[in-house]
Amino acid sequence: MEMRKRKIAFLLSFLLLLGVPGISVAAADGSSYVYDGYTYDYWGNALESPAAFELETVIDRSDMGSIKLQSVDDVCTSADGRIFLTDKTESRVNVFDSTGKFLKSIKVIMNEEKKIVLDADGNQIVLTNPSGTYYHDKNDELYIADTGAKRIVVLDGQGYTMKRIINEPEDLSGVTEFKPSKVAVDQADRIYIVVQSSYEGIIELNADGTFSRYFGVNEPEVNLIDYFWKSLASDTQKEKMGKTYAPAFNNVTMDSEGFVYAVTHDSTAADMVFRLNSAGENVLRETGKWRVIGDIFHDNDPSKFVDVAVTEYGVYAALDMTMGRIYLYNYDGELLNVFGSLGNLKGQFKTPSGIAWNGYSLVVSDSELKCAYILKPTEFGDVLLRGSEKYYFGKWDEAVELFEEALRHNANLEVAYVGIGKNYLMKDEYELAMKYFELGNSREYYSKAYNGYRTIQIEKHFGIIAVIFVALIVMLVVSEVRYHKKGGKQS
Amino acid sequence: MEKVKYLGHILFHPFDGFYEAKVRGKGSLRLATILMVLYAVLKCFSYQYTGFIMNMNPVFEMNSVVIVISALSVPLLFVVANWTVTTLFEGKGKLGEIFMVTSYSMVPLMLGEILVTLVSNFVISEEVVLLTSVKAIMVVWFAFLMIAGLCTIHEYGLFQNLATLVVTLIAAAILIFLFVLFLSLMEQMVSFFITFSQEWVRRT
Repeated sequence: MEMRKRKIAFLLSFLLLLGVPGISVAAADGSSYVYDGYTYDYWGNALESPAAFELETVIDRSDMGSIKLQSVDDVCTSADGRIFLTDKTESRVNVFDSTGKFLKSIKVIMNEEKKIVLDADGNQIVLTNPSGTYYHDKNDELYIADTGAKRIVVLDGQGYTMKRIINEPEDLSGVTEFKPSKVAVDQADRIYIVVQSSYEGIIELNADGTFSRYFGVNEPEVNLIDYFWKSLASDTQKEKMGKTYAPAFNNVTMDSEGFVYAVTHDSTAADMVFRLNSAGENVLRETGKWRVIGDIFHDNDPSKFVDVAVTEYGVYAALDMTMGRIYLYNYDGELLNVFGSLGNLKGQFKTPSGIAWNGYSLVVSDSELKCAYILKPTEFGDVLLRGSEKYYFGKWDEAVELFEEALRHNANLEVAYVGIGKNYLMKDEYELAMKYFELGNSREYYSKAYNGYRTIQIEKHFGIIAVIFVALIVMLVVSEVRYHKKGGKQS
Repeated sequence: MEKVKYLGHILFHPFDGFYEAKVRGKGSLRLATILMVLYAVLKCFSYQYTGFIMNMNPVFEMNSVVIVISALSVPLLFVVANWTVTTLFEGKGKLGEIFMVTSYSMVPLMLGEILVTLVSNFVISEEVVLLTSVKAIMVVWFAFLMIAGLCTIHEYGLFQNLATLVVTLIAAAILIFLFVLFLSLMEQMVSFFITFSQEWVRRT
């Protein structure tokens, strides 16, 4: 039964993968693709679930006038809801408002007097194949990773005028070429730069643009078999085998507490999503039954995360390019929902490239379809997100109401059961807590609730239990005495 | 009933007990069979009724047939494999006696199963280790009974017995291989005859 289900699911996903050739980005009746969601249960079965998000708007070049949109390689948002799409091919950063209306396109950098800025050699400063942006809300600054020109361009967040340019720091050590592709800035204005396929880590610059250090250790997974062969190999053989480099980071972003989130899809990496503390160690919480690796069962085709987006309440969305899926995890690393697929319908992906939160909505870009989707939460997604938010901030009662609402949409949501159970546990309502922990398959917390319940039961029925216990002891003693008396007579 | 009483004696005095069972007929094949069936039933029982904290099974999709087959296949395979090996290595035990030893020795396992299943409903995570150690003790007891019983009925020394046990494992592997081979051949043959007969019916 299990196998058959998986086979059918595999076939279906295969069909979806193939798509229907010849149909443009819309279903026959013009409606958009409706996502199917799922989560994993305690035993790793994929359980159907409503999708947490649905397509609201497609941002493409339709209202951009004469400006072309050739690819969308990154997306970022500002706190006031503007959306920034990076077009690497056209070398532009396009600005939209939160409803997807086109506002402005940035290519040539102006100063405040509306004049084109010139660099030291007298050349105009023009964006050259930028591939990443980051909006720094604290200083109202837009950071553009200008990959082709090997620099970071910092613009004023309102007028998009020139603020400063960060070139390759002179004291940059290591062998990494300074070709910034993704960028993020923390509350102390330190700049974190990802260079594609750099095995030295994320480049960290001080606020003034000087080099600070390489940041974040991405440990490669050591394979026992490889280790065995390498221990046998001679030096010349070892040279031919090639070294195991530390896997490269692909993307970087910040959370509200100042931790750096990064993703990698290197097949040798031990972790896929990182929450790096100031020492560069991964402190991502993975308390769920399954690790944060996307799909847990795959036919040698693991999920490859290209980008991650974090809310201030710890829920993060990881974008996978293998199956075109978006994985929603909560702060504890428990999977909330998975949705999305590859294909040609409106709402499906071809080569997803970037993801960002815009309030409760998600903005997801696709470089091959040359568009970005604004996804809004469904009814289910709304209660799920707000429930997780209340839960994160410790507003238990409100969280319970929202989780109960979420369970009405999806009775398979183990995270919600456990969340409700924890609330009852804290109120010492052990029996209810036990019921919910059992539904949520949380043996750890069930045990805690049962401990309280058992103590109460023992106290309540102490008389009876004591009587039975004493009676047992008396019976034992009596039978011993009798046995010995009989033995004594016989001998 | 007397045989059941004697089972108690065997559990604590295996060398003496199994010897009496072999030579003076104090063992019972019928009792051994009942115990074997009881073991399978207990396995089903523990799958479903072990307390939630210790029970990792997806109870909603319990399949008692699978549990019974997986519970019985190992001891039965052992009995057959051990018999094939020991007849070659001058063991004095008969097939029935090996079956009896195996089945009698499993009584501690059954006791452990009952105890753990019942008590697991009243424990918290911290106390689970007590129950697993109870189970471990029962396994040690089971191993002791097995070795003692096999030594006695085959009239082996300890090391000869252990050596035949290793060979038994290999024999069991060969048996499984042959069984799978037989199954796949049968499947092919059956499907051949089915297609053949279908063709036959439709052509004429």
